[in-house]
Amino acid sequence: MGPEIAGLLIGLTIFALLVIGVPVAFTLAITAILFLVLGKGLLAISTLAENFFGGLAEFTLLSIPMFIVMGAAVAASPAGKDLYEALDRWLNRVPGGLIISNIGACSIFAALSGSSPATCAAIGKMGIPEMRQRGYPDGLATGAIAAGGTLGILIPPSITMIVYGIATETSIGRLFLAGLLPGLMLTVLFMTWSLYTAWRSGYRFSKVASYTWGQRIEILPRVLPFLAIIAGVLWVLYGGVATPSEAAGVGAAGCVLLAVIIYRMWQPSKLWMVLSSSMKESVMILMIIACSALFSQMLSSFYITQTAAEAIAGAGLNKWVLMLAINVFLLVAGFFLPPVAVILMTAPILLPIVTQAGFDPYWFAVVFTINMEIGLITPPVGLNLYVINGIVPDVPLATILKGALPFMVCMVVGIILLCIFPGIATWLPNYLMGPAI
Amino acid sequence: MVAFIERLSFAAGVVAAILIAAAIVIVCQMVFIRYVLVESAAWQTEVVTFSLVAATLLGSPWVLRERGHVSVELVTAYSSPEARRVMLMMADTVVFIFAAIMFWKGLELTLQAYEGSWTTDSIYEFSLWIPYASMPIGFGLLALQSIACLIKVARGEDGSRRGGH
Repeated sequence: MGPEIAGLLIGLTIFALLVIGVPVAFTLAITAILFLVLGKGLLAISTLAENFFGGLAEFTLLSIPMFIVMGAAVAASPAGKDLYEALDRWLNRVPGGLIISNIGACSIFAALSGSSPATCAAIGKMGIPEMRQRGYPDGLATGAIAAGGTLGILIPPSITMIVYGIATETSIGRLFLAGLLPGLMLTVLFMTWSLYTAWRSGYRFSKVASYTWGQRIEILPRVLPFLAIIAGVLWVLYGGVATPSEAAGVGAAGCVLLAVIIYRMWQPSKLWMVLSSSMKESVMILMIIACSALFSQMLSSFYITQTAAEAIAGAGLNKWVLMLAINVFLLVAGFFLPPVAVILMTAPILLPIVTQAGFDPYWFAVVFTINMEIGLITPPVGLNLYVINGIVPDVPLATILKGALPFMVCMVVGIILLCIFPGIATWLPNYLMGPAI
Repeated sequence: MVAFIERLSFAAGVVAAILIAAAIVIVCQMVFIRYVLVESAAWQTEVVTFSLVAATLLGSPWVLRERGHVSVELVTAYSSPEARRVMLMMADTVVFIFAAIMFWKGLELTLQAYEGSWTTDSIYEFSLWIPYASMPIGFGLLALQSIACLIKVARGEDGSRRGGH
């Protein structure tokens, strides 16, 4: 079997298995086994168990369950409510403060919890009714939260970035830094658009609640410790003091302890909920990682990755045309599959192509992730839309979708800005960690 | 039969969750020794890595039961109930085949490691058959659970598939 034919058959097999509903992890693994046996004989899978084990037995992978536990502890506690209230109390004098604090709360909570649907649920539950009550249009109120929730996969610490780092063997610390400024850029774009829409629809930001300084300061002790843990984890990572797994392990223990101390979340049933939901999500991701290791070994034994990269490099495509094609492909993939699955399936194949075309792998990680963010707020899979629909069932899904649409445009604008000014992603990691090797 | 398999899957899931909790505690202990006491700590790295592998394998059957392994649900969700049932049964069969192959390969490897007294390369020389054993156990349970899922789908009581993430 030549690499071209094998590649085509492999693509078709994966498509067929995914369509009938075989989980992504097992689709990748069974395809790998099938083609190894067909192409190279039974001997090719004699070390299957060792390879599978080897794909999982990596100390770096430990950072995934650790960061998930950290986020789950925050998500299960009422930290989202306090964060929202804190921002509202501090920003109430700013014009449009309510929507700004909602988007701000989304981006901070998304970074803390690392989960997009959890952010929509936590912030949306308070924010959406409040915004509607104060006269913001339904579409804007729901769309802003849906979009704000997606920021968590870009702003560090992000599980999506860790998975990209593992799939492409790039530095996780550097990836986190690369995501920070683009995350803030998107936050500002979202805020700008929200203010403009609110203004245009006749909302005049007059009805503000007032708070005393006492109320403002009173809420800080419940919010700052969590932020301190995140800051600490990032600082430890960038200082090169500890590995991501170590930083995440201590961060996870810290967040669980804080949830117990600040929110008295000591009931075994609540802690078990945090632990069991983290276990399920970790298992889901790690299973895909282990299976995709088998899959990429199979791909390279057929020289598919190399052939594809050479063919595309040899086609003499303009690098921006190539980038556009890759973006469209990722966008479509993101419509159907969650970010982690798309990254593990495609990043190992795309990265050699992208770097050969002269793009920075860390810059590409950011563009990749923003594409995935768009997928989170588009049907059919766009989980955030359904979460918000669950919070405010009286707002039709179509209104939420229409409200989220301009924010997707904001993300596309973000990608274009990143193409024009790649430094938005690459400057911070290069400045703090020195140029990538 | 189905209920018994699901209880086994749940029990393995509980062990997986405990392994993750233990890993957090061990990592914190390791960080304390390394960065506060400034002493060397190495066995922890191996232990937590292996417990992570075991957690993934042992947790997998329960995640399958809860339909928590991410899959494309678009086509199955919009198909007729009959077509949907056939597709889901085929999907569970694929999972069973994969789990069965891995069970057999994993068992082979575990027995080899046990008979050859294989150990890790580190100075601690952990017996490798112990972490390897999580493969036959985990995949064995996964194979059983995929049959349980298949039976439930055939009976028409699979419920709705839950999305992950």
